[in-house]
Amino acid sequence: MMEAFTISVEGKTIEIQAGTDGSLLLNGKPLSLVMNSANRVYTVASGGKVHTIYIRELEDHSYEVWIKHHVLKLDVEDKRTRLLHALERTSGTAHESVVVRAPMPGLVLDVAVGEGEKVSSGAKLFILEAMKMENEIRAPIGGTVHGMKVRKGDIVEKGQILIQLKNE
Amino acid sequence: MKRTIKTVLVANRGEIAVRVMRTCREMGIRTVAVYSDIDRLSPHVRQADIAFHIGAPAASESYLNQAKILDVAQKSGADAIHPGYGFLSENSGFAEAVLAQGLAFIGPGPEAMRLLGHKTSARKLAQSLGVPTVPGTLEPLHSSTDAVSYAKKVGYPVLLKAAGGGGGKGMRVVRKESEMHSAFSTATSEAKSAFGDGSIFLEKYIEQPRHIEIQVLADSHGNALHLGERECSIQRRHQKIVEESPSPVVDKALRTQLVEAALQLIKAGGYVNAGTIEFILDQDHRFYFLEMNTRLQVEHPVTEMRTGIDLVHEQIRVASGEQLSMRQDGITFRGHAIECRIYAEDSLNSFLPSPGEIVHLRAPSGFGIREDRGVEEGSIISPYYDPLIAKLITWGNTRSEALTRMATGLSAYELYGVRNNLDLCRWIVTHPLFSGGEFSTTFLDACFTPDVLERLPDNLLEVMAAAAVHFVQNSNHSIRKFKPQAPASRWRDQLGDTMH
Repeated sequence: MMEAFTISVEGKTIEIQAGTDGSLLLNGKPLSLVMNSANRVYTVASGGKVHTIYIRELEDHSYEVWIKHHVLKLDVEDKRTRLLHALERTSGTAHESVVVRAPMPGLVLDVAVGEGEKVSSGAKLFILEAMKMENEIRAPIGGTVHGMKVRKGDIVEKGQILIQLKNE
Repeated sequence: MKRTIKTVLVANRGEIAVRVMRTCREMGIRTVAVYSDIDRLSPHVRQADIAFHIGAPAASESYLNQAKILDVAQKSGADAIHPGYGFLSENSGFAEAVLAQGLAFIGPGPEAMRLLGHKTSARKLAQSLGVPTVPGTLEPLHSSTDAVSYAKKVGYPVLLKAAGGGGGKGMRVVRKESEMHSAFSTATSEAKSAFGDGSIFLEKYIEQPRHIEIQVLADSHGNALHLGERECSIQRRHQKIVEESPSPVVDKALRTQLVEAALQLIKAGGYVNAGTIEFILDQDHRFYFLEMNTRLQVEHPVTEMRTGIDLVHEQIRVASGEQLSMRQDGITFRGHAIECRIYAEDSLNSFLPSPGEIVHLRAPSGFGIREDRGVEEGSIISPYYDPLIAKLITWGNTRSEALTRMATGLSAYELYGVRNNLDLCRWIVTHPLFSGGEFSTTFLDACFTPDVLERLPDNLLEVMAAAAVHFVQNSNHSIRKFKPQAPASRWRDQLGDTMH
């Protein structure tokens, strides 16, 4: 199974497909990459050269990448974030359900809604504490809360499903 | 008076503390470090034989706290204090207090420090000896009206300078009378906040000046000698970033004149220990005495690489009352040496300091390469102190060999997590005007814009993108970003306590 990613950097767009087995396709062509990560720093072998790369997350989907004397900002979109973005753009008109995920790992400080509750688009759902900051998680669309997966005090991973919103 | 120095307290931090301790160890001298809260795990602390905590991160609470440092000197049984550069190194009151406590101060005596280290008295001395100085005021100006009338006498452009100053603070170039009033008030307020003294001097501004300095060494037996010149014209915000020796513009005749003037000054001023006489050179290669730095300089390794003389070793000898270990005719100057100061600063954003954690550091090494550094992977470059990360020094048989070695070394240098000027330094040392020796202190202002820096090749963009995808896929399945802080800091506190 391949997952498609769109990377925007320096005004350019790069398409990468990644298999669960670690295989990579760059703009449709196989890319041979040997990666070794230790201490947040990657050693990457590609095309007969070895590079040392450091990556850190700036905010959701946005990364800072250090290579040689360069520091660049990369935006990485996968299928899920593309879907979320598409939903945000059409919010209110979507007729399906939306899964709300934790945008970052953290501690659930507060759950502002209950099972079965109707919320409008932009309503506060959760407060997630990460990096000593309180982050509000808001409803991407209006709908009814289904399948509450977390409780106050839980530690969640990035991407973990928090609730589903059903637009009925 | 001869005395034996067995224990040296290094009243400094970072690379210079590490560098001084290295020589001490070579001489069999015990070393004492002092550190502020945020430096408790720093290399200079680890490398010392014993380390003492002296206070909060702010320099005024720690590295400038004379009473604390003198107290540590007594507790640790130190018989001498090396002040490094910056902090208390040019504070004659501190030097006096060290001597009063019966310790040796590894630097000049307080009187000579006052006479030669203070701009006005040093200029007066230079003038009395017939050493040329830049035309300017010998007394502080009282108002911008004073400044205007003096500027008329020497002719525009003029330079406004803080009396207690250095590092470009309180410094303004004024090109015409209409600019004087606002320039004067900015310079005064900058000087007041940076040095606690708002006194401003005015001098004729030399266009396209080059900064040349002479390294001197003197002992208490009347021996005074020079170790040649260094050129430090490559500056940003009036602070040096690239230094070399010899200067590509100083010929034998000019060198003889500069050296003579420098030795005349230190002999007349009764100066003992290592010091640097700074000159500026105008476009016709006429020289003017600028000021003296009464301490070891940041760029001293350039001279050490060329002469093979360990300046700290000589400083300690002199402080213990011995003679210098060499005579002028025994000094040989070999090849060419250059230094780049690697700073945590953003070349793309007005060279503003850029604090942060060094997450990855891989420095070049090998024949002709020296790296002086007081930080390592995991170190935090804090906003409290000078953002110097490391000094990379290369030596070559010729200037071109030294420059090539520097460019190669900079390319190989990997430093991630903290924005830095590695690419700027590489751009400088490979620039045709720099390699051709055709530059002045205005080089960066005139030639540098952020877009001149090398762009990342497209194939590396793809490698970065692929690595980012890998990172995204893996970080989705872990919570490693969420780390509780408490246990680590508790461990740090305990470690700190055991170090007293």
